[in-house]
Amino acid sequence: MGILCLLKYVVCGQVGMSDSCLESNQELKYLKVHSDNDAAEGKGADTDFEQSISLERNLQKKDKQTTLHKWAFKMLHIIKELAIMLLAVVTYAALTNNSPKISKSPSAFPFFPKDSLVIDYYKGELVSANERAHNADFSFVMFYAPWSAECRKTRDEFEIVAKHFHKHVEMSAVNCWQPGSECRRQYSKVYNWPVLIAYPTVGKGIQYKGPKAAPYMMRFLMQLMQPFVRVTTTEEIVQLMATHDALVLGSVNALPGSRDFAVLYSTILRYASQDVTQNMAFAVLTIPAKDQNGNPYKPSIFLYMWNETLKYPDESPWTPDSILNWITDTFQVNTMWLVPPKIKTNTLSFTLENSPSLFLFTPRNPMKQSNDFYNLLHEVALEYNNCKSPRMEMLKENVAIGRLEDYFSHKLLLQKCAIKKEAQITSAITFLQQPKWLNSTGMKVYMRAEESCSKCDNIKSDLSLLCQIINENSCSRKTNECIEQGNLGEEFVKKYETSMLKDENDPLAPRNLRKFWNREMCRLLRITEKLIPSIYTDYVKNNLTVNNKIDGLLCKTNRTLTFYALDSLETYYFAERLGVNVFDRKDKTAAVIIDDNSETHYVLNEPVNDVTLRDFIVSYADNTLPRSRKSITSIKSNNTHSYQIKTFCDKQKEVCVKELDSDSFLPTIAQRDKAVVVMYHSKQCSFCNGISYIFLIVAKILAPLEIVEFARIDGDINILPWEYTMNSFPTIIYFPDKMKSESRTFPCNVLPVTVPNLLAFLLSNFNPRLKLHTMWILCNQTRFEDERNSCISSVRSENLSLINHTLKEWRKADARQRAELMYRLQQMRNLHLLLAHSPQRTEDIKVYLKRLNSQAFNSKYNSLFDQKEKITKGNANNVCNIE
Amino acid sequence: MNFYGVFKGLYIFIICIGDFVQGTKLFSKNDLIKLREEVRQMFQHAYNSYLKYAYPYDELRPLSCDGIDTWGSYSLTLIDALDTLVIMGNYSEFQRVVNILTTKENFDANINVSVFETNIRIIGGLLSAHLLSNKAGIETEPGWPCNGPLLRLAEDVAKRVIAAFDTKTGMPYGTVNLRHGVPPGETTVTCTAGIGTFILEFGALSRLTGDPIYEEVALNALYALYNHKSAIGLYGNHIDIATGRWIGLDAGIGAGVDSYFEYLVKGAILLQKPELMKIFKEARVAIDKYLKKDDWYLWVSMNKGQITIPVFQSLDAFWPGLLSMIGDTESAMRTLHNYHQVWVQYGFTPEFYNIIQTEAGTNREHYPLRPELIESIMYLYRATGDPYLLQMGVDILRSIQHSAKTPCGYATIKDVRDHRKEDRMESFFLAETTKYLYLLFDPDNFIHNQGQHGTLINTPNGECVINAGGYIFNTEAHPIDPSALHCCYNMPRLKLFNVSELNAKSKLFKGENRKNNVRKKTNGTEEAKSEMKSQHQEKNNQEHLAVGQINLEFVEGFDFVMKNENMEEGIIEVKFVNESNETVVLKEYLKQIFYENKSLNEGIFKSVPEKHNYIVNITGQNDYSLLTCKAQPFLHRLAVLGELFNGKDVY
Repeated sequence: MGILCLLKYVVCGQVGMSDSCLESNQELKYLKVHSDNDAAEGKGADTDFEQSISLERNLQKKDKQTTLHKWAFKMLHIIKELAIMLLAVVTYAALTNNSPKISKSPSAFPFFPKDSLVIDYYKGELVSANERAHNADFSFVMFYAPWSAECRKTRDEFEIVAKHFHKHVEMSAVNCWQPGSECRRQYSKVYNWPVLIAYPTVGKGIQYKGPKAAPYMMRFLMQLMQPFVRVTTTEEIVQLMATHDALVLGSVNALPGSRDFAVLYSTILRYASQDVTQNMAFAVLTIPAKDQNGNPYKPSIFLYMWNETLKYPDESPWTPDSILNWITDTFQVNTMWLVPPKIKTNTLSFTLENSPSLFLFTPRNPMKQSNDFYNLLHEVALEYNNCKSPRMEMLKENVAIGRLEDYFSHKLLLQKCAIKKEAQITSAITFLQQPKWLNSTGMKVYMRAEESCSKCDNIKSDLSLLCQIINENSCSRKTNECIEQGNLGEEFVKKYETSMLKDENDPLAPRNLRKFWNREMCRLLRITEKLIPSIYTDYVKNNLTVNNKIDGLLCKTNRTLTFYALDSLETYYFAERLGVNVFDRKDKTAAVIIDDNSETHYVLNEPVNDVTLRDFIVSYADNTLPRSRKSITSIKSNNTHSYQIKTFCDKQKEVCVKELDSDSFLPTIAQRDKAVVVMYHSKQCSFCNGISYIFLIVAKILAPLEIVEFARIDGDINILPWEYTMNSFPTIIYFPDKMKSESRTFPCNVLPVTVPNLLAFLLSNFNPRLKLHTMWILCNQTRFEDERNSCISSVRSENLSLINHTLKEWRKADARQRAELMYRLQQMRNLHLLLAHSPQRTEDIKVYLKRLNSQAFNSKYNSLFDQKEKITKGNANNVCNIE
Repeated sequence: MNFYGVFKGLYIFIICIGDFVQGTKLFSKNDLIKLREEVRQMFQHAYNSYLKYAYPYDELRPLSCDGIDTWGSYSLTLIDALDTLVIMGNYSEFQRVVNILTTKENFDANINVSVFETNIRIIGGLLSAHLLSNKAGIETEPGWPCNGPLLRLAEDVAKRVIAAFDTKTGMPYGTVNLRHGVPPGETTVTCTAGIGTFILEFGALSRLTGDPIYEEVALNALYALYNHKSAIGLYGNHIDIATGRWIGLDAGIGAGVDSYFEYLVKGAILLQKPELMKIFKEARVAIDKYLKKDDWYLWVSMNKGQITIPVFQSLDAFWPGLLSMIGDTESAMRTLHNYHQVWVQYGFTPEFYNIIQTEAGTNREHYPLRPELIESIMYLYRATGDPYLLQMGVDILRSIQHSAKTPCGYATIKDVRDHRKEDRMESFFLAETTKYLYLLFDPDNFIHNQGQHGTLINTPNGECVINAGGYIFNTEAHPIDPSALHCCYNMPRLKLFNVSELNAKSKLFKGENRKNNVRKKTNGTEEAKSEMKSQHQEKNNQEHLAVGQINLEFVEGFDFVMKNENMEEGIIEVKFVNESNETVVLKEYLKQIFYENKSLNEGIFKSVPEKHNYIVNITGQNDYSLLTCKAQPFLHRLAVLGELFNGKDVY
């Protein structure tokens, strides 16, 4: 159709006069419709026509003022003819070249369900969406494309977020893909759908880049709403250090209108956009704008880490970009949450290829600040890396105390929130320290200490336990203070009436705010508990004592070990690959050490707690851990799917071989009375599938040999002892029935895997009696008489040479063995006679061959053999141990 | 700074109680079954519409709801979709269609068809339907799988297109008339893939029917192409088959070249020919050197190797799947991630994607429901079990369901940027796209058998094991069972053992001590690592040397035989033998079949030129280590969900 339009355009353009053009168009239409048999085609042509007409009308307007009218009029006749000729050509072209019909873009449909709490701008109305977002204090917008599977997945998570935040965060969604929509025009190039952006009241939107799961998104929103805490004392800094991996402390003048503070604030927000997954704290220490002499104070930033504290260089510019770069470049931790982004990434590779790493898989609740298992890891890592540095000693102790405090405050909060009557809660609330920043941004109420005091009477016993453990003077002081202040609650509150309205109805009055705050704490608690129940190690629950052998192991052994925690609910898949099903573990928690250099991983088999984890690390450092042979084949997983192995096999119609795994491999090949042929294959190698039918055919041919077993194993997935780990696939190995160490590999490099070659390989390696039996079996499967005869004669000659050989043996043997050999010789003699005179008596021949190979008849022989075997076996064991 | 606003932020620190899912479950068995059924419905919708509106035309037009002939008038979609019916378990419909097809005697028609498309779609489709007919419960003729009506039909088509191979160079014409052979005045320019994409179908045909001519011409064409590679080891995209001069000088892995590489690997596996793998490995060295940039594969000039077109083509996406077959999962995943990124940007992959501007290429914005991406995903999922790949599959399924579905079928996407539809549904949508999607979501499908079990059948050749897995898909996703080829080709020749040979070569047959093959455990020191590296480099150098040693002889005559088998050194001298009474000359063969078959016009073969054929003399032609894969590095077991490892010992 394109050519058609073009030609018409040319015609009309040349004419420069609309009348004739329209006329010729009419003709064309007539021609077209009548010449076109295909109704659909005609319809298509019509629509195109209308388009071209409108095009020409535009032309008409343009050309109206030209003076070509007269000239054109004269030319009309000629042009008409020309046009008709052209049109005929065009029509022909259109008929032969079926120009395809093209449909419109898919129309817009609501993406979110009707009753959703998310406002869905499914037609891409960006302007109204923007307006609404700006009117709200805080909004969270999802820009989506309706066809994207990722968007559909995120939609469900987004709705969960909306369910909990919709009252206070404007949750909306915009179809930003819809062609022709406002949003599409604005943002035409999006690489990844959906795009999630949070808009604070002022400033730019902050993009959310974390995992697209509701808990992480909620963590993000919470972080944006409360991006930092205000600190006033060193004690607070220490406390923050103990509960976080690192702390960024900015000391700025935070008076309204302060530019320094604005920069810091936007830095913090941008950090949240970059990475919401880490356990990093931001704190602000306010300083006056000017010192006593009237000189302005310079703002500064400190980065507190586990091993050192760094100061943001004075000469660096005070801009968000530069600060952010400095933080990300210098930031170092000794433990961290690894959050695989689930896109093309090297996250694990960076950690694992550099040094051995300990992975702690444990459920994480992103909305909760502390996680006891993670804190345990933190503590252990500090101990491991602690080479007598006082800083780490202190930090370590703080972490330990923090864990206990956390446990008790959590327990208290649970108790408190279980009490439904609000009045009681309010009366019980007091503040230990001066409430800070009640009317400002950074309010952070320390639930731990305060709450532990709030119900002093009820939980006195608990607290005393806590104090015993911590053994710190301040604690008892705190407890006393708390009890005192608890009684003086009303009076205490009065102190803070200065800056606030006295009105009871004012929601921002301290008392009301506190009430509100407590309600929210409880709600938050209920949600987080429902989402992922808090778990605590046995140590904090039962106050176990631990050995401290781990202290300073790094310096003693000089073995670097890095410590990472992974959310077992999100990354259980990696654990599965290491043979650990976290869902079967206590608390869904497991610990694994992975050492790439030795291509080994070690699994902590007991439930993870303070004692077992430390022992695990100590024995790793001592090299006493056994290498784990667990892999994905060792566990039952509901989330990993692969072709099912056929265990039941109808021998009449099918042929199967046994599929081994790392558990069944050794027992199978170690069978004393069986020779085993194992084919190593790999799912990652199609050459293996390409020849596995050969293996099946040979297994089928040799099925009458009961003494030989055929089996397969996936050599890539299964972890086997080193001496059985193969370098390439496919590999076929023959393990003889007795001398297991004499196993042989099929020469895959020089011989193609074919039925005759594989048989020849086996025949060359079978012991002579087994070989004889095999040859007989093969003879029976020949199709032609002459072939069979020559085959049988070769069996006969083989038998003769075997008799010859046995006779020689007999001469050397002692009396006990002679009986044995004599028995065999008898069978062989019978065989020889049968083969020579009546090879058709296959049943009889089979009986003698079976006797020759049977295990029962050489029981005496076995006992002799046992001794030899024991020696070789012992050697083999030694080899294993060394490796 | 508006403190009030932020304060409000604090104030709304509110959460209500709600329901949560406990952790993210990636894909449970039930999820997979649901997805699988959705794909089945997708197939059924398109297939039923084809039968209703388009049969017996070649293709369905999903917007106009009618049919049209495109590649020939042979009900292309019906034949192409046939084995998908078996894979989805719809045996009754399969039987019905086979009954219709077998009433057809031959493919006699005075139409010009593409040799390439006819081969992969019609011959491939008939072959796989033939091989699967036992599985689908059709009563097979005695002698199946070496005999059968569908096989005869496939051979009939092959006989009609084989005329295209009658050229000076042995490389085929692109077009052939099903009745009269190569049309007079036909262009001598053929694309690389149009020359190198026959070995699977023709090899299978030769081995099933026992007529060696097909495999010979297909191999000959491959060797001819190999002989024309550029000095730096690259192949262009179009060549003049009369003169052997390259017409399209851009080298890439996509359009015009793609299935040549695919068939080298798959042919090596199916026919157990290490020399094909050698050709591939050699080409791969050049491809990785010149084409590969940041895991993309660009287009470069075949002689100099400088980049000419920095685009990703929709057709390139087969490459990761191919790499996964030879054990290079690492590179495969890296590249696949890039391709998937294009998919999520648009919801489809445009025919061309400009990598530098990161947008769809001008006038190449359409997506004709191509299967290459999902094909690679399916292969990689089978190899690794990575749930990320299932997610990629869902991405594809959702996009197609959302934007390509019409009341009567699924339509080509005209423009990936706005998802307008075009009135076409290529037959590969039913033959490939739906098949691979289905297989991705159905890990227990018989196609995925890894060779742990097989079916026994009785044939005149003896008891055969078939359906033992390891199916090789042709480039149109028609599976070929290697064990069936063995049953027809090797079984009659099978001599279970030969005593004299056994004794003569006992040392060779004895194999190696297992310990020689055991993987060396790295002891972790830097020294060991660097040693390994240098070994690796050394090996690379050796490989280059080996590449240099390969030379081709341009000799006259047709057939070649192997002589002087020297097993120890793995060298085979291939010599040209001019024994016209023993070797079948193509010209004679063609005359013969054209006389037999009255529907074919023999007149056009009067002037068959003297043939020049290529004989490969590759050092290590018996190097069967080419048909093995390296074990995966330890950490690669963790390479899931987008995680990638650099690997110490990767090729």
